[in-house]
Amino acid sequence: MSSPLGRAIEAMHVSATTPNGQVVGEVTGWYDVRITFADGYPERVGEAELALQVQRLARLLFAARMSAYHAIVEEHLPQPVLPVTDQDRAYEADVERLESTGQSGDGSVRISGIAMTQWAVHIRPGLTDGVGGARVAELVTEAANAFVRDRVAGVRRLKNLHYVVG
Amino acid sequence: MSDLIDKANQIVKKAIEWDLSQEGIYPDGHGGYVMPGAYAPMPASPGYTMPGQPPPPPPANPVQPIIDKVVARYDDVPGLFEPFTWCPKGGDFQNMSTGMLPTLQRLSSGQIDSDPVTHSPVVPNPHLDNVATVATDVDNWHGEAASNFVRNYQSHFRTVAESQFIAAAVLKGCLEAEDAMWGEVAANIEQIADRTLSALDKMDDTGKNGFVFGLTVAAAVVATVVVLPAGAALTAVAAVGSAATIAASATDLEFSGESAPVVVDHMRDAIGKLKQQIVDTETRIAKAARDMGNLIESAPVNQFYLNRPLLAAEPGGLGSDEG
Repeated sequence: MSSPLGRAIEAMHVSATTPNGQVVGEVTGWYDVRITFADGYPERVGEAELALQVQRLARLLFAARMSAYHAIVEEHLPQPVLPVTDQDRAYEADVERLESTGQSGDGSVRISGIAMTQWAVHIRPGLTDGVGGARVAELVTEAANAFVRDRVAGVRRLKNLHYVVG
Repeated sequence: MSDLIDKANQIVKKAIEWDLSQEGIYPDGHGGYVMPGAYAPMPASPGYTMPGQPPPPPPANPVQPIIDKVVARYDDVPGLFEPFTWCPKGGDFQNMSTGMLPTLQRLSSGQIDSDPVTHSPVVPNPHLDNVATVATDVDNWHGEAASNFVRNYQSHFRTVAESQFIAAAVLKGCLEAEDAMWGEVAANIEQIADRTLSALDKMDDTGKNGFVFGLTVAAAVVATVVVLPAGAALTAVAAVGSAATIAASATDLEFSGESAPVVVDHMRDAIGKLKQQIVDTETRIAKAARDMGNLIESAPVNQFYLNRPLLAAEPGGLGSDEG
C-alpha cells in the first residue's frame, strides 16, 4: 500500500517537447523516463545535434516534472516553513555540486549533469547509422533512467552524510 | 478508521525496508530479506547425513541479527494506533445531543428563546407561559393555600424553569463537544498515519522532507459562559460547546525527517500530543458537566427546584407526580 502521496505520484505523468517538436520526453510515476524522437529525425540531424536537443529536453522535462511533483506534494504533504540550519546549508551546498551520470547498457549514450542544471549528453558518433533512430531513442532512455537512479542514490548519500550519519 | 491498523503495519514495513536498505539488505520478494553479494545462499543441509545422525541444522542467516534489531525498532507502532480503532467516533453522541432538544423545548418559557451555548433558537413551551398569568385566573382564590402558591411556587417558577433550561443546555453542549472532539480525533489520527506514510515515501526527494501534523482536538471544543437567573444576583457558569470553525486555532506540529527512525519518532511524538489533547479536552468537558451537577446539588431551593408542597406528603395520593 502506497501513501496518499505515493499513489498520486505513481499516477503522475508529465511530458515535455523540445521547441522544434522533434524530441519528446515523458516521466511516469516517480522516476520512469522515456524519450522518443520524431520519425527520421536522428537520421537527419546526426548525433551532435541530437545530443544538444536531448540536453535541451532534459531541462524542460525536469522543470515539468518538478512542477507537477510540487503540486502533488502540496496537496498530500504540505511543507512547513522550517528554520534553515547549518546542517541544511551544508547539505544544500553539496547538492548544488552533486554530479550524476548515467549511460546506456552498451555505453554508446552518456548523460551527466550537475545539480540538474548543467547537463551534458554524449551520443557516440555514427550510432544512428548503425542501429537506427528508434534504437537510439531506446539507448537514450536507458541512459536517462541510469542518470536518474544515480541522482537519487547521490541525494540519498548526501542526506545520510548530513542528516543521518552526521 | 477500519484500515488504521493496515496503515500502521505499512508504516512499520516501509520503515523497516528503509532502515535495512541503508545496510544493503533488501526484500527478497518472498517476505524475507537478503543482502545481495554478502554471502552465497547455502542449501538447507549439505545433502548428506552420517548414518544414524540427524541432518545438521541449516546455516544461520548472517544478516538476521541486523534484521531483528531493525524490526524491534518499530515493534510499538501498531500498538500506538490500536486504541484509536475502538475509541468513540464522531457521530456517536449525535443521537444523545439531538435527544436533548425536546427537553430544552419543554423547559423554554420563552424568556430565553435560544440555546445559551449554541445560540440556536429554541421553540418555547407555551404551557410554561401560562404560569406567569395564572394569578389572574385565580383572583378569587384566597387563603393560606393561595398565598403559599404565589409565594412558594408561582413567584419562583420562572427562575427554576430558566435554570433547568440552562442546565439542560449545558449538558447538551457537553454532548456536542464530545461529538466534535471524537470527530477530530478520527481525522487527526488518520492524518498522522497518512502523512507519516507519505513522508516515508518522500524521503529520497532532494529537498527537505518536511511534514505537518495538524491537531484539532482541543480546538474542536470551545469554552463559553452561561448565566443563571438568580433574582438580583446572576451566577456565571462555565460551559463547553462544539466549535463552529477550528481551522484557525489548530495546533500544527511541524517536522522534518530524512531517515525512517526520525520520521517515526516525530509520528510517536504527534500521537502522544494527540492523546494529551484528548485527555485535556475530556477534562474540560467533564468539568463543565460536573460543575453544573455540583451547582444543582448545592443550589438553594427555588433555583433549580421548588419547595415540595406539604400536600405531597399528605394522604390522598398527592405524593406522586401523577397525584
